[in-house]
Parts: sequence; C-alpha cells; structure tokens
Amino acid sequence: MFLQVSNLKKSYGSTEVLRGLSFNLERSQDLAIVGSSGCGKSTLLYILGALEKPEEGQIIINKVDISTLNDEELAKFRNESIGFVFQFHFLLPSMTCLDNAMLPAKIGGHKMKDVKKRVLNFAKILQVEHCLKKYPFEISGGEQQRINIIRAISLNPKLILCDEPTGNLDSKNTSTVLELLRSLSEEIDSTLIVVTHDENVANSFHKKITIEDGQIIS
Amino acid sequence: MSQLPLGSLFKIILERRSSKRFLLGTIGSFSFSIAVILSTIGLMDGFEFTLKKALANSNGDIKFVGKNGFFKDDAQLAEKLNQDFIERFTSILQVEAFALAEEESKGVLLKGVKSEEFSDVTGMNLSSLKNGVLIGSKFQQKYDLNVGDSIVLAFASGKARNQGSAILESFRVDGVVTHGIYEKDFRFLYMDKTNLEKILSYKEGVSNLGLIKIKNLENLKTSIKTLKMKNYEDFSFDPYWSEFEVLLDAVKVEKFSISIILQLIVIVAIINVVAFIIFISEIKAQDFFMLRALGLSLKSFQQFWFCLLLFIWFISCGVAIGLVQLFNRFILTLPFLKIPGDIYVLSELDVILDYFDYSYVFGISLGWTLLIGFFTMRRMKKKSLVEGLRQEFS
Repeated sequence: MFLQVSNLKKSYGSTEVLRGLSFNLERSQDLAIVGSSGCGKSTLLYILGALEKPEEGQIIINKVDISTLNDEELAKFRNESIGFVFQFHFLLPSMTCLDNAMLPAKIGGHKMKDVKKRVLNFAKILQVEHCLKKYPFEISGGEQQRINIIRAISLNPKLILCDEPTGNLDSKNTSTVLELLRSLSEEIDSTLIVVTHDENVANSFHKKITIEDGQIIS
Repeated sequence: MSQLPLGSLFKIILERRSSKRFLLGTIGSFSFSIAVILSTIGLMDGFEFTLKKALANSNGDIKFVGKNGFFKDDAQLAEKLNQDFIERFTSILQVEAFALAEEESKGVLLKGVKSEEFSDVTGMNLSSLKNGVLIGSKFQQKYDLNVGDSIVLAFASGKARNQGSAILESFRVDGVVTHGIYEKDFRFLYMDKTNLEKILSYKEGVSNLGLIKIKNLENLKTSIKTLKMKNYEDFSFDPYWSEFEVLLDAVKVEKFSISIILQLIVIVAIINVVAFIIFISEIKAQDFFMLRALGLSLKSFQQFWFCLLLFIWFISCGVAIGLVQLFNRFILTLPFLKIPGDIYVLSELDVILDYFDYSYVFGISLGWTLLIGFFTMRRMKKKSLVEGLRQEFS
C-alpha cells in the first residue's frame, strides 16, 4: 500500500475539522477528494503534504510515517516526495519562470543539471518553453499555471497534491490541466490526489472520497 | 539544510525598490547611532589619551616633591633614587612669577631646569634654551612675542631682608615650547636652573620638584610603590597624570554614563530595523510561506533571517567607522568644531578608539539586533505554515 491514513484527527481551537479519517491508496492510483467548503478537504491535503501535523492518527506514505517526523525532516520530505499544485499558481516575481521551476531543486540541493533537463522536457510537453526565460508577470495566467505544475513535478515526487488546481479556470482549460496532470503523473509514476468541489472532475478519477463534517461519507 | 543560496533570498527580499530604500534608510540610521556613541566615547578616550600624553611630555613618568618643601639635588638624592627601574631623573626649581609684556602682567610658573636632563626625562625639546627663557605657545600667541624679543619677569625676593620688594629681570625669548595642554602652554616658562638659583640667591642644587623617567611604563604603579616605601619620610611620589586625576576619573565615569544613555539612540535605530523586518515579513509573506511549502525548513529560514540581521549590523558597523573618521577629520579641520582649549584643558582633541571601545559598542548593538531577531522569529514561528498559506493565498 502506497498511502495509509488511519484515524486522522485535527481541530483548530474548539472546531473539529477532521474526525478520525481513514483510507488507503495504491501507488499510481488517482484520488479525488470532494466536499463542500469547510468540510476539511484542504486540511486533509495539507496534512498529507506534510504542511500540517495531525493531532492524532497515522499517515504512512511510501513506508514513511510522516506523523513522527520533525520539522527539518518534514521539510526534506516535502521537498523530495511531495509536489504541490496550489489553486493560486503563485510564482516568485523576482525570478524567471525557469528559476521558479528549479526552486525545489535549489532548496533541496539536488543536481541542477539533471533537474534542468527534466524541467526543459516538461516545458516542451506543456508547451511553455518560450516562457522559461521570462518573468511571471510577462506571461498569461494559463502559462503561469503550467509553470506551477512543472515546479511541482520537477523533482519527480512520489505524491502530487493539487488544491483545486482548476478552480480559476474555465471548463476547457479545466479539462486540459487535468489531462496534463494525469499524463505527467503517469509519466513520472506518481500518485495524484486532487481536492475539488466539482463532481464531474472527481468522477473522472480512479477513486473518489467525499468528506462531510470531517468524516468520509463515501 | 537548504542549498538555496543566500543571494537568492536577498534577491527575493530586495526585489522592490521600496525594500531597497528602506534597507538603506535602516542601515543609515543604525550606523549613525553607532557612530554617535563611538564618537562620544572616542572623544572622551581622546581627551584622556591626549591629556595623559601631554602630561607625560612635561612631567616625565613620576613626579616627586619633598615633604619638607625644598630638597637638594646631590649625591644623597641620587643614592635615594638609585633603583634599577629608573632610567633617569631630574630636579627642578619652580617659582611663581609675573611676566610683564604689552603693558600687562600675567602670573606664570617659571621652571628652572637642567635642559638636557629635563629633555631626556620628559621628551620635550629644550635645546634652544640658553641664558634666556622659553615661553609656551599660547603665551606667545597672546602677547605676540617672537624669538629674540625681551620679556620682563618679576619674582618675589628669596632673601629675608628684601621681603616685600620684587626682583625685576629682563630676559631674551630663546624659543617657544608646546605642551599640548592649554594651561601649561599659557603659564609655563622655562629657564636654566643655575640662572634661576642665582637670581633668587638660592644655594646650588636647591629644588622643589623632581621628575623621573622609568624604563618600563607598564611598571609605573609598582615603581611608585617601591619608591614610596623606600623614601616615604622624605618625598611623595605621584604618577605623571596626578594633577588631573580627578578630571580623568570624572571622564571615566562620564564615559560609562553617557554610553549607557546613548543606548537610547541605538534603541531608536533598532526600532527602524524592526520596522524594516515587519515591512519585509508583511510584503514577502507569500514568498516565505511558499518557499517553506516547497521544502525550505524553518531552521534554514531562521539562519537566513539572522544572516539578514547580521548583514544589516555588519554593514552599519562599517559605515559607522567611516562616519567616525569623517567626524574626526571635521573636528580637526573645521574651525567651528574645534574645541575651546581653555575650557577643555587641551589645545587640540582627537577621536581615539581602541579595540575595547569598538567591541563594546558593536557588541551591544549586536546584542540588540539579535534580541529583535529572536522576537521577530518567535512571532513568525507562531504562525503555522498552513495558516500562513491560507492567509496569504486566500
């Protein structure tokens, strides 16, 4: 089993956001997490992405129990094993798109030559080669999102987590971005987890879980 | 640990023109505050150093006076001062007198010296002294006297039968000497000791002041102690600065008090640093949280944060040193910044700083910098990564 989540609990103050979530996922399976606003789906994604620690429960990703890791180890784990695609495709304005895409490699101290080769390849696939030398404010929103995706997968992460990646896009661009994410995750043999509140998007995934009031209802 | 070069993080922080300007302003105010403290301490150190140097120039290393007033410079005195640590000594006959010049009279201290001995002991060059007198540089300026001019001195008579009547003698000005101390440059006159003895009808060798030069100035205290122990009945010995001891002690106390008070200026400058940090952490919060989400550990971020503060501190210290040099140049060259010598004893003052002064001021400012670094870091730590991402990206 690639991902094992058991009895996950998290609360903010007196509000219980996650109330004992458990599920498993095989490697290379796609998963869509759906639910209404405030149900806890983003919190679950952040915990899976080692951005947040749970109060209770266990998360094992590729045989690593991330709930036992300290801050330094979590940062390393995030850098090497997780690729995050945020809804707001935030790129650092002081860097070129290539530097933005290479940022995880720079942070983690990886071999720049290999990563650059990979980034150039992804840029070719996503048709944003011409953007690499430009600054984020010089390219369109769709192109920024693709650079964002390249940054997320630049280190071949085992797990790609997307927080409503198509939230700001129209239906045509939504399907294009999802297709790209799927094909890229297949190419690098990663597991893709997407949070969305769009049922149509969720239905196109191998597996779907619906969260309501911090619990899985289906 | 993150391999993200510090340069990249600096680039992120200084991306905006406003950030660069703010940073320059912060460094400017911080360095100015440090420079103010350094200059103040430097002036006080300069005062102490210049005063002591000037005193040593006219007093040798150790002064001694006879407990019964006059003493005789003879073999007995040489025997009493026969110590390994003494390089040379000289005896002086000094008397109060009036100098009459430009239809004015001025009270002076006339020192009868053996010029060669005196020069050896004090380092003052009295080679131009012949049968006339040497006058101080301020005295010369005041009465517009030149070498070769005449000056009349009035002494109290040394003989009992002549009590009440003064001895008036005219002397040629043989030269001008500078002590570096305003009062001495104005009041001290030198003449040959034998001449003075004759004028006053004193016996040969009669003296009322002695100066000693020791081989190693570091042993000054122990040398005085030894001399006091061996000659406690006849003489009292004091270090060369003893006549200004109270003033020097006051300067030390003042230096300490002022350096404490001036910390207020550093605090004001530190508030600027805090403002810069808050400004950066607000406008760059998205970048910082994104970097952390991409794998930059809190520890690496902390290291960068402290590097940024150390950078501000380091550059500020460097600029402060430059400002102090500039100030020092100004006080030596600009007339309106020159110190009034009659008030501050010295005719010229320098900013003098030693390693301790630099370490003290830089150390305290570093302490303040690290303290605010610690508090701002704690403030940042309080906000969780997710909380930050949600706040910044919502």
